Amino acid sequence: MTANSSSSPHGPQASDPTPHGPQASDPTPHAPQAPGAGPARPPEDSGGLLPTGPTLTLLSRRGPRHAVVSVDGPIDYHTTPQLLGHLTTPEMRDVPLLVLDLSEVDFCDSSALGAFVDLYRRRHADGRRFGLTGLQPQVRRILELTRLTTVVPLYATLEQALPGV
Amino acid sequence: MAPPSPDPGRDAVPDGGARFAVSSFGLAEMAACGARLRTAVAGAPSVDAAARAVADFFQDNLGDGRGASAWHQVHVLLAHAPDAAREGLRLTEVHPEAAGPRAAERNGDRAADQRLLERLRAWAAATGDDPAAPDCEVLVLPPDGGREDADEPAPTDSGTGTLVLGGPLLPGAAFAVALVTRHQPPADLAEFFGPLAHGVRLALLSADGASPAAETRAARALVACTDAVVARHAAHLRATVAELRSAGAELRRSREELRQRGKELREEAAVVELLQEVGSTLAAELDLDTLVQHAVDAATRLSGAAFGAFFYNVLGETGESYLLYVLSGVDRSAFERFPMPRNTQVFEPTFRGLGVVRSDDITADSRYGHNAPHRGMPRGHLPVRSYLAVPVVFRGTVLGGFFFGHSDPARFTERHERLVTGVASQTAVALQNAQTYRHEREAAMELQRHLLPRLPGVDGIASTSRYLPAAHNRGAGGDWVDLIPLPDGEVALVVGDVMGKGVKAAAVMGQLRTACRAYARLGLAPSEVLEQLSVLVDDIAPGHITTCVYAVLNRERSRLRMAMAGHLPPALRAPEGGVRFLDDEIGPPLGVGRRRYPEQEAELLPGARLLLYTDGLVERRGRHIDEGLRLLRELLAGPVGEIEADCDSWIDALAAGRQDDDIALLYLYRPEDPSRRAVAVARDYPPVSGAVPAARDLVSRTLREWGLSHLADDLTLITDEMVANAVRHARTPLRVEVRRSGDRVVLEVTDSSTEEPRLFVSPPGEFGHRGIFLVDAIATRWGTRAIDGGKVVWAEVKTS
Repeated sequence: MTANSSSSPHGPQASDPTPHGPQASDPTPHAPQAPGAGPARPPEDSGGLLPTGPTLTLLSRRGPRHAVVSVDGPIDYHTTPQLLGHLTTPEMRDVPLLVLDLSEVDFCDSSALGAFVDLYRRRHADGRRFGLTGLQPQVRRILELTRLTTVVPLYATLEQALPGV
Repeated sequence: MAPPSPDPGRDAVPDGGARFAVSSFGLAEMAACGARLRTAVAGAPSVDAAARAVADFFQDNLGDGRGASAWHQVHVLLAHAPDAAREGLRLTEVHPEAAGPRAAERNGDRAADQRLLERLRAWAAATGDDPAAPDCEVLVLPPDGGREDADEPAPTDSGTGTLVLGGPLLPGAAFAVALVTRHQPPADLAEFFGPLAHGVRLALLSADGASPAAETRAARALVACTDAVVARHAAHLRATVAELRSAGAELRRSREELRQRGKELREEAAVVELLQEVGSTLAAELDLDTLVQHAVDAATRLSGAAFGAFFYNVLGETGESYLLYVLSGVDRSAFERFPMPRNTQVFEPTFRGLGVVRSDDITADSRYGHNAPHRGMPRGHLPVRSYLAVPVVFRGTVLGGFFFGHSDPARFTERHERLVTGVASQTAVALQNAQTYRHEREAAMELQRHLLPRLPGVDGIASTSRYLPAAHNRGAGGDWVDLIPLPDGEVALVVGDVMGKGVKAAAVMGQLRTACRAYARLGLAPSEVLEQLSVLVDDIAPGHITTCVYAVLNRERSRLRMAMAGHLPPALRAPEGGVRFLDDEIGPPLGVGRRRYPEQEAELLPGARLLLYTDGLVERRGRHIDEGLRLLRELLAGPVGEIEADCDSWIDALAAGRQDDDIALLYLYRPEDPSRRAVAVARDYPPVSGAVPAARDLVSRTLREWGLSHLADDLTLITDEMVANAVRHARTPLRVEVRRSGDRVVLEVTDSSTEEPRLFVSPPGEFGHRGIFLVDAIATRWGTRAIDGGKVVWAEVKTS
């Protein structure tokens, strides 16, 4: 491992995964019309378009022939763009082996699966490798349900993913 | 005279060549004519014969362009001055076709003759050694004033005159060819005849047996003269060509300008038409989704952009506003993975409605690239150099903004800006119209909801109802269901069906329903209610056969007392699953006069379910009603769950989305433990990606509160997929509701898009496909149903 870098889409906000209003208030039974429901922008803020909701913390470690990207946070419809943006930079594209460490990911949805398959296919077509490691039970389950365990290479440990490194 | 030739420039001549027209005598004619002269005179045995040949040559080979010789007369004069000192000059004159040379006297009376004689003398006096001595010349002599010896009347053409080609021969001798013209010769003819004069001299010298040196000198002079003419004309030609070229370029330029202007005018006309069309289309468009798409398509077309986007604010039901966007010229997938634009220096003027931003190269703009982390366009963004953004403002309120991009620089002109600004103001008005319309429509729908109220909830039972108009009969039908809490704590249950279709049946239904409610509140027994209704049908709608079930559920919710008028029997499901149709006592339909309707009773045990329905549920073209009832019994006997989900799945199974008749259902469930009521949590979200984690979090917390954390993994995944699907495809405000009912938890995602759920049409390999695969694999049951102004996607999970 030679270099460290962290990436987030919104600079400082990324480490503060709370600015999404709705969850902050307790859900109240039979109160569907709760004012301020949803991550709404106050009308007076006619220019503020900051995205809300949790974001991923991404930590990249580069070796001479590989990169390991540790993901922290849920990978879903909301955060997948951030992950794809990080993993499809020219530097990341060109690295011969890319491993996603999902030890800190307790949730993935079909958008995440789509991203994994997309990354795998693109890298495979370019003669480059891609794999996942550190699968949590919930993540492993949906990979199994969708039969993707036979498509995307999975490594039980990071050491297995990077033999001899 | 030669006959007129189709080519006015070259008339046929006896020897088969063509006559050179003096009117168009140029360099080429000069060369060709000189060559022909040499051939014509070559081999003449004497000077006289040569002179004769020269005369014939000029007579025959030069035309006026209209088939006649160019010359009125041709004379060849040979002059000999034996002694230079003497004044006398011996002249021999030759005419074409004359018998032979004859001595000629020119008395010099006339100015022309005077001048000719003077030149002949000078030529005869010249010696080849003197470089300053006169050489061959071409003279233009003024017209004769009429000659006594003229063979024919002189032409009256005032332009005539005499062209003289002459020059020295051997020392003491000279020659002249006098050509009396018919018409005014072109001004430059004399110049082109210069080499011909030299040619004549050379021919005469040859025939005279002159010394090679003299011939050589004459030949050199001929060449020099020809060269000089050619050189002069080449320069002239070059100048002319250059002039022509520049004139041509000028012409092309002005033609291009004309074409350009024409094109612009046509474009302008097309633009005006387009703007008008856009304006009227937008003004007529009240559906917001269609409106904004029209607007962005038109504006993108007018701007010549590679792609365009329109961002617009939408006011949610609870007053919150949020931002949506539509695209033109590019698929939504190109932007799906980027967060919404932020309030950067580039975007601010548009989102705040401060003014238009137009840039030939936005990446070179001082406002560009100041915001972390992208510092400009995010990676993978379509390339944009030319940038144009126009806010849409109505009376000071920013309603939205147009954004256009092109990968080439300097694509957007001031004109594009004006056009898009035009579309923007039309869009502003149209958006305002659409909003007004939406408010009015919502008010109308609210009124309708009051007329057809939702059934109230009552203690001790869970109930739900459905009303689905026939596929071909949208909105109005004669079926109804009702649930009426009675003053003493009992509950009346009603299902009815007025035969007939459309508004008439619906109107009768409305009256019967109202009357039924009144009778119910009077506390009439079921048989009495039906009796009254039957009389009423006879009164208000004779012939409108109506069927009905009227049942009263006691305060304890344990017993039913009911009467039936020709209606399909309610189905009762025992807690253990046995199904019985309550068909012991069925009276005749309503509308057949005053009748006594029989009553029957049934027990409703805890855990039992009761379904009242109209024939639309079980009757279907191509399927016997008994078969439909058998299917219904099978479904009811099978696994059941949350009542909403039960209803949807039964309707799906029996009608499969193409019911021929209205369907109305009233479905009741008496819970085992009446104190454990259904619990529900609902929340609204705007269609943004952030709604996905927010809804997941809501469901996860709710399950924890209900002590059902073990379902969190499954239900959060289902919530995630269903909300993401609504955000991705419906793009309308959405509602997430999670309900607990008995041993089931039901999750519903409601959106306002009436489009068919895209879940089913996503091609394999897309996220949506995999998403629904996950929902299908995890949920106990799931399905969709259309509702007024939208649809619901639901999924049910067992709690144990």
